[in-house]
Amino acid sequence: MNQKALYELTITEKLEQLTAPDMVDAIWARIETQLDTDLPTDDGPANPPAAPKTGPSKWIRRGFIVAVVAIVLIFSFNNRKQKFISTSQPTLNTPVTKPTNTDNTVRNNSPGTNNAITPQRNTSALANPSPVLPVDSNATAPVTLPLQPEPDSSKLNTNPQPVLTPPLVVPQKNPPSDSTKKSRGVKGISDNDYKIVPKKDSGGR
Amino acid sequence: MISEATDIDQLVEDCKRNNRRAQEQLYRQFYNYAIIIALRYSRDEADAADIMSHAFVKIFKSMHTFDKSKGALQTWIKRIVMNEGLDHLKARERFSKDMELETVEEPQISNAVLERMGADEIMKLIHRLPPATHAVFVLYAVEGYTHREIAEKLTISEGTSKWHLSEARKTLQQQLSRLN
Repeated sequence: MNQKALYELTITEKLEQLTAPDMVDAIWARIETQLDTDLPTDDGPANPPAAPKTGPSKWIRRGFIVAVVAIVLIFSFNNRKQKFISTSQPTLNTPVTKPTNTDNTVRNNSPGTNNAITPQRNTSALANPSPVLPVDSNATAPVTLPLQPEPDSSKLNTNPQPVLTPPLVVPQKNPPSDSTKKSRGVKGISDNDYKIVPKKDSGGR
Repeated sequence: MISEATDIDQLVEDCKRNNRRAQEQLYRQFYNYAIIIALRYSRDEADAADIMSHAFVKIFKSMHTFDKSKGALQTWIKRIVMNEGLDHLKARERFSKDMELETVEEPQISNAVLERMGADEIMKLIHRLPPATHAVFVLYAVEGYTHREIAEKLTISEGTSKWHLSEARKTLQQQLSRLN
């Protein structure tokens, strides 16, 4: 501390009497603005709308919100699209495979191919994907019958032995009915049991 | 008195927690005291407002470093406002280190004239001084610092501090003689 002269003491006293200018609120506004940027509070500034109302920050915030919403919508749309594709793929595959089987059967039914093989493929494709049914099943025979007469009729006109084919077809048609009848009848009794055979010794001659 | 002290202590604690209301209350409580200090180191009121805003932002930012066992809050605030004012003066002019003086001339300044003047008029006289001279004069004649302390504060030599004080006295004497 230096030793002040008399005039210095007078100046000091006079400066102590200075009246403070009325800038309390204006200076506090500047301090608060600076504090809001440097030391933001958890509960927010006293005048929170001041910053977003004016300036480019408002548009930056809005643009950011729009971008976030757009990204969320795009992601949700893509997820739904992928789910739709994944769920629809199995249903689309099954109809595709069926026509190929039917196409194959049609090709196999063309004249010149083996008739006994084509019905098996048709039944297996319609009933089950796995070939479980037996080859000589009775149900397969009636399916092929309507397709066969055309080539057979043509063969009848050309071939000298047409008589052999119709007997072959007719017995195939009957067995299904016989098999159903057998199941209804009594086991152990055949048609021969009902036949009346005349005895040779009954005449008495 | 005790309740006032506890109120200030509570305010300081709230300011340390970055409570905006407490900061505003503390600012308003010390406004008159701080703005007068700021006016001593400024050219005008707008300059003083700049010093005040910068100083109080620093006060609130470094409030956690305040320790009341080392000194009163008022003294701590005064030091920050004064340093901010000196930085303001330094920003206006580079403090010359070339001018040095071994002994300070003591021109005769009429105390009677000063007593007739108002505080605002005296302040205007001081504001007319060059920034470095202004700073040294306020620090020496008003705050009571020695030339060694002023030299440390302003990072100048003691001789330069004496030269600025001498220049301030000469200028004031000339201005007061005109008024007389």
